[in-house]
Amino acid sequence: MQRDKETEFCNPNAILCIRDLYVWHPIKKFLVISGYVRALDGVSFDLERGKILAIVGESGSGKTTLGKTILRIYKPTKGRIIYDNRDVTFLKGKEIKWYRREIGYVQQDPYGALPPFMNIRQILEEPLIIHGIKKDERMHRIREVLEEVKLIPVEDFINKYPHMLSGGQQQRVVIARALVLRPKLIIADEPVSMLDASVRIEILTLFRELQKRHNISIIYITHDLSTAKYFSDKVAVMYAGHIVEMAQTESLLTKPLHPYTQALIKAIPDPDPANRFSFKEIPPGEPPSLLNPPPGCRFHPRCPYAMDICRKEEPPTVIVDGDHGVKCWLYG
Amino acid sequence: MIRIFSKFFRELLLYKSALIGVIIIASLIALSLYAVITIPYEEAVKRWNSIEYWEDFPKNAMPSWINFFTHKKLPENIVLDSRGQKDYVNKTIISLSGGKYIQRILFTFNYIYDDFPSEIILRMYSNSTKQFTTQITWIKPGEIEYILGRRLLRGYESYYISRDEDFLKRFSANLISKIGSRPSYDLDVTIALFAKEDLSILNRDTVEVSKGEYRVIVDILMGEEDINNVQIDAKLTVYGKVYGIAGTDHRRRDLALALLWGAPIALAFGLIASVTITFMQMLIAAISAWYGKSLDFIVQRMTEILMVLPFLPMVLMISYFYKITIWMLLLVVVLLSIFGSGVKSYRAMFLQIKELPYVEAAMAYGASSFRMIFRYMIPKILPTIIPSIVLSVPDFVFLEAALALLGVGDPQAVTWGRVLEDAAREAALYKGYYYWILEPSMLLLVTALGFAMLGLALDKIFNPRLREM
Amino acid sequence: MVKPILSVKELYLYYRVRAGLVKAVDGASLDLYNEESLAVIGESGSGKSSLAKALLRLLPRNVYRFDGSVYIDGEDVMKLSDKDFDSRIRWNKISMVPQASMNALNPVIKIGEQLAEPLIIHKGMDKNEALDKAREMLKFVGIPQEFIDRYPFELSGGMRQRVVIAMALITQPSIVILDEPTSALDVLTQANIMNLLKRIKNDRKVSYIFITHDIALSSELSDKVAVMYAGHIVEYSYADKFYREPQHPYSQLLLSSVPTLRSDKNIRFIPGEPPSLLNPPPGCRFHPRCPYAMDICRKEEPPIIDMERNSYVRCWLYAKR
Repeated sequence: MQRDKETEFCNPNAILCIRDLYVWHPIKKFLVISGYVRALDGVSFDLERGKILAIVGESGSGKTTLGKTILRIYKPTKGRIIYDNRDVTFLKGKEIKWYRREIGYVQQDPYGALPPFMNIRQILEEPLIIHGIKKDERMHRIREVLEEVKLIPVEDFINKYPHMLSGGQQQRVVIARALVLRPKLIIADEPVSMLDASVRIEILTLFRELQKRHNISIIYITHDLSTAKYFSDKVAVMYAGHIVEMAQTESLLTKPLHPYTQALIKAIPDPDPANRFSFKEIPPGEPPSLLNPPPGCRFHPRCPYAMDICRKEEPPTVIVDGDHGVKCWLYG
Repeated sequence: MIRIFSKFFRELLLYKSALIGVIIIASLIALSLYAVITIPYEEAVKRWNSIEYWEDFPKNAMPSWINFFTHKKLPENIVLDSRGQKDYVNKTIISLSGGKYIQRILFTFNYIYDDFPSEIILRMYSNSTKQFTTQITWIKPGEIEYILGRRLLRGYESYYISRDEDFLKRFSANLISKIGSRPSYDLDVTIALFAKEDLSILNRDTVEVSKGEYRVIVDILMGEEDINNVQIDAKLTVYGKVYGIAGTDHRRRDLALALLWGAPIALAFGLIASVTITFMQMLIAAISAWYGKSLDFIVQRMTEILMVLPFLPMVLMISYFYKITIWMLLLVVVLLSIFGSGVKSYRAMFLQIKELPYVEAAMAYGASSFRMIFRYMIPKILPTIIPSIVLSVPDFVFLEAALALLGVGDPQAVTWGRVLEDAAREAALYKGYYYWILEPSMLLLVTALGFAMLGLALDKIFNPRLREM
Repeated sequence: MVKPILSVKELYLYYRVRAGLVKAVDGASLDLYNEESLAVIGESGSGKSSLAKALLRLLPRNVYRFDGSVYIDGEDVMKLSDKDFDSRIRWNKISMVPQASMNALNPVIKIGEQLAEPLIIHKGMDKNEALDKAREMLKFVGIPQEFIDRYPFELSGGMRQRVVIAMALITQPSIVILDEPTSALDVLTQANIMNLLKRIKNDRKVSYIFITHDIALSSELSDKVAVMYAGHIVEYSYADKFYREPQHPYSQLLLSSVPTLRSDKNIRFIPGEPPSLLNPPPGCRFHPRCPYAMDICRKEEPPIIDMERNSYVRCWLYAKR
């Protein structure tokens, strides 16, 4: 039995090291704070260079908040974000500009992610202009990156506007924009959820190729565990602001330890005609309010194995079997 | 860029309302250009405020196209000037006995109208300081001759013929002996000089104009030494009751000047106010929404306070304490409107735009606040505010007119509002000078209509949800 | 011979837009039997939602062509007037759970009243009786009865979905069209809703037309499958065969492009994008993306080729020469 990771040092091999990250959004009523939405309530993990970590969770799990906080779109309330052995948790403004160059963002909705009044060239040029890349180098990089995402011939796309492209093409532009500064880390938040099924795998495959070629580390945020299987080295499962389980993808899917993970896996259908005859055993209820989360383990109201201690105390994160971590009293 | 604009323009013109609006606005612009090119601004202001320039214009004359619609043809303005070669004027010299001469200036004109002129004035000019005696004779068709009177001319003399009471008395006495009865109404000189002298003259309803050739003789008595040295000229003005395309006002000014120059001023005032205020409001809203927290708080409270302050009384106060030109008025209006309700509604829009995915993406790749506001947020809102810029132009055009009507603003300005103010002050409606009120009002309405129709079409284009309506 | 409860033959729905003609449903035929569930699978722009709307005659204003036969209980409802269709068929024999259902609830009207509305309108019940039935229905779909006086914003996403399903069932239709009923829900909630739908099918003996883009999910509630592509039904088969041996190349590629949790397989993706319904490619609409495209595929549209047990494929590969 091992203790929480709180006091451990960061793995020097890790490009990203998150320790005890809390993000609480205050609720203000006429200048008085009446409560906090505890979107992230103590999250810790490492991401090794060149690896893909999938963060899987449902709405309200905190996965999007985690992504945006790492990108420093949200401000952390407490904790540490350590990138490449440098602490970026509370840096602001000019101090953090170098960080923004190293980290890329791929968003969910390709249409909303591209400004409708700029053409593709302008969209891709923006990050370059902001970071002071000279004009000739800019065009060169734009061409390069459009070729990489297979929007060719490049001339056909450079002057188009987002609404002239299909969903898949728009998402390629979003990926191109994330790549144009040659980042070392990319946060991809549901990058293919809004695309058609037939297009999803194509985009993810492309993404994976690019990742391998440039040795980029990726945090892949999704609610779809099945794509995580094909796309990630490790998986972290989030529930109500906590990471409840984290392991190598293979281990997590074959030996899920946390009851929530087990429920998730059960709930996801495979295309099997026998499905229509059976009912899935799913814990009832909904994820808890983040304003007033239940005491103890946040999953206990829905957990089929809930014990007394689960209702009172928050379980510690326990390492079982190498690097398979789980936050549950069943193993504590 | 131009391609996008022309494609957009073609789509716009598909809407009928846009077509009408564009035609109206284009006409106004054409009118304004014409005004600016033909008479420069300072010249127009000077002219409008002068007295001498309008000397020969009739007072409160109706527009001359009225004559197309009336049975009775109203007289036009007749100006006969002896200076320069004219075929209606004949100068002769008559020598008398005793070394005296008469310089005779003969005016001939045809009077074909059905109504009497409003005034008759004879002006005489001499380039000598000596004093001369003059005699003026009036000859009506049918060789009816009257000696109007004798005047003394030294340098310049103006003889207000139509107010000559003495002549009127003589005429009346003469008339009674000629016809035998007394007219049932009070005659005036213009009737005396132009009416048919038969029984019809006795009643106001039946009095008729004697149409035909009229002659006016101006005789100046001079000595031998002056007859070849002194230059004498005369100008006979038979003031009509109609003039030009727009008529005249109480100071004899051709309304067409003010109506013409009113266009560029109205457009300039409206557009500058509308565009400046909208852009400033947008900028304030963007900054307030983007930076949030205390800056937002301060700006919002400021806006609320300024919104509550009464706009009109403040403008009135400022104009009573300071003499302001129309451009100062524009500045005051703009300054008082910047923290207006637009700030609130644009801020609401910006708050939404701030949450859009592409704004977040830009934050992630390190765009500065300045860049965010000007490159990412404002371009998104621009299509929605363009219709409101167009739609608020008439508001400011009307504002200027309303302020002028209230007596606020530039008393020397040549605007439609000023024309309305003059008309109101001179009780135009009571006196029946409808054209004086209708002409500027119509122009104001048409301007408002033009912008409203264009704005409506623009709104439909930029807010496509309205297309179904 | 048991007769189908719903029989659609050659249904067409075209509508006119500025740029031309959109052939949303281009000759669709299918049969639905009692207590049967038909999954209609398609991606965006396949025409599947238009098919649902066509069956319920919820047509857009710019309809250009709307014909074919739709037999419900032996009667061709296409021949009915709009008024008759509205009073006898819509929400009486056939109802729908629309897409983005959670937003289909009126935010300013209480749940109970909204739930009672179909009864008041289509069955002419009085308000109190309808509210009673509404309470029963809430219980049936697993919502506590006190919620009858709550407003939609007070309910979670999953609960709102249950209300909308209840609204579709309350008039006891025999056919319910489910148009992406779980699209915006979390995985666990989705599984719970699917459980509910299965229970309803067993208890209430309704037939479903289950429209979805999620192939894996479709297997949860399908006895038969219809795959739509660019306005056509390209494969119409029964579940046991379809998921194991899809016939049409599109179906095959679709199944292999979906990642599966429990089995390892070779993932393939379909190159290209779904075609526009304004200008579909000539011949077979799938030919630009089909790995088996032949010459004839580029020129002529493949006919319906009947296979065993009332299934069919629209593909030249199966034409008998």
